[in-house]
Amino acid sequence: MLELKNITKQYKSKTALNAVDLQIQSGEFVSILGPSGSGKSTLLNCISGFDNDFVGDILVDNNSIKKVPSNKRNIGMVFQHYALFPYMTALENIAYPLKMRKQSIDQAKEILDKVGLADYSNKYPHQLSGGQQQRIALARAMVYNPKVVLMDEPLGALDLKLRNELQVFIKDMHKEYCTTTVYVTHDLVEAFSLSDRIVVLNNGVIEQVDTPKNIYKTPANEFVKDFITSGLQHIQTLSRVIQ
Amino acid sequence: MKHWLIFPAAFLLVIFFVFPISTMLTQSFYNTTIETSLPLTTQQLKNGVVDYEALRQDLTDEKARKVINYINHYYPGARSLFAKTINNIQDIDDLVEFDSRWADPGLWKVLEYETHSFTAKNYTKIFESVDSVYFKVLTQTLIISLAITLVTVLLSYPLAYFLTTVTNRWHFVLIMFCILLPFFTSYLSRLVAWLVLLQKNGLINQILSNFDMSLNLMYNTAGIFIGSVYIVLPMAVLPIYAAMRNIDMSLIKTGSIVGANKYQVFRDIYFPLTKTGIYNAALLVFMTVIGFYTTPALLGGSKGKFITEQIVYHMEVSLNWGLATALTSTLLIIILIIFYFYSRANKDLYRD
Repeated sequence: MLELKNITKQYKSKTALNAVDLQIQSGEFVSILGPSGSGKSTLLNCISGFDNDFVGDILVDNNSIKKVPSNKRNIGMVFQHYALFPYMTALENIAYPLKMRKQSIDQAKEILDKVGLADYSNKYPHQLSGGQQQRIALARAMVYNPKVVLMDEPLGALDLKLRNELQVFIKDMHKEYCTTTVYVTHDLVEAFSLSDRIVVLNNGVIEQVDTPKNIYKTPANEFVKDFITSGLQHIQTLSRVIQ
Repeated sequence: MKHWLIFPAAFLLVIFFVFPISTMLTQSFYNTTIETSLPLTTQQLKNGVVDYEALRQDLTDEKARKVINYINHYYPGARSLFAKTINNIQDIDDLVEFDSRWADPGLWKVLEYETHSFTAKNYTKIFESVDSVYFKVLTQTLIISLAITLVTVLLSYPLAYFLTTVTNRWHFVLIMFCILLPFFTSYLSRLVAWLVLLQKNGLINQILSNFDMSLNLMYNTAGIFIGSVYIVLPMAVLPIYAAMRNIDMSLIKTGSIVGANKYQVFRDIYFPLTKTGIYNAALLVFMTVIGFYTTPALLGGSKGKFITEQIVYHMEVSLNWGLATALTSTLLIIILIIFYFYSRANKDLYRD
């Protein structure tokens, strides 16, 4: 279980996160949805340990990790631009976390097979397509069975077709590994189709936390309502244009 | 693609680079000094005849003086013999009668050998043995240049890293200004400043004398080191800094979140990503340093530690252009070899 307790992050002139309280159950898939600058990435930086300059506490399975350095937190992370180590092959990339833990790399081969890229184990990132690279990045974030996986707009750099394909892939991976996942996005469709629960974030404040269905049916306030209807309008406009 | 865009640069390259270099290479294999200065003697020698009269006639021409230093190189004593003979040539009817040394087969052997227009002797002279002066100076130049490159890169790396951490714009400008300072003044005035600072009664030794110490910082290898590193430091800092600036921070974050500690992140992720910068810096510095002349000449003492000093000596003093061009060509080949290894090393790196 991942617990965020009253997290407040203050920049010089701006409050990036204001008293954020959140409980995520083990194995749950939670999306953090919000417009640009709403504090989504700041929140991930706090959880991952890149930013320790905040008020409040973060607990994993009831233990505070605030004073634990990033490399000891046992958290996985996927970035928008894959962040694969360019001079390592696909397999070496996935095996790297295992090497740091002095574990055998058999698991890396196994997961490479699972993401359907067994034939590409000796390829370098620049020889792979964007979709393939993101699969490798996902495999690397999962291979050491982290307690929590953070995904920072992992599909943001891909085209629509690949995005849909990888959504299914992420869903399948989550079903298989049941890792607690925090998925940051500003894409309504991604959030709705992937998540158990959605957190709507605006200006560093949580506006609503609920299942996709409840958020759609009973938005807590005007902001949530507007955010969702404007997102859905895109889809409606699109289908109207096509017809 | 607009191929014609490269024409102006290519034209310049041919005129000012390809042409002089090929001339230089040919010159290092050809030997026309004797042929142009002593034409009649050469003619006879090519026919296999040792003709004293032809030589006497050649020596009546003033241009014969050009060969004096050159032959003296291979036949000690030739300088005085030639000078004496040329000065009195009007009164001489028979060379051997004037000085019996003219009949020495050793001298004629040298002359005969020198009339072969194609020769590899300039190169054999450099590489004839590990004790040859040129070979020694060459290896010494290489070792000093490599050491300077190493020291410069080692000094630049932390400096470049420090630059990436500077967030204040004015601090950055100020530090950059200090790093680029050596480029702002003339090469020579900078070196003269070093003389003031480093010499026996210079600033540093005056301060050290308060503690009853003194250091020999000039007219030795230390002098070459200090002067060169200072001049090439910006050339190393800038490529390394550029490589560091290009590093995607999410790679570093990933490294730490998947379990690497600070040292492992540096060793496995940060450092490999700066390798291109290091190679570029090392190549730039090495190629610059190996061709340094003023610095070793001014700060390195009179021993002629650098190959460039030998080249200048043979160009301007001994007038042995064949040897000078052979040394220059050897230098060029060394740089080409280094460049080959550089491109090999860079090929193994990723392309993103």
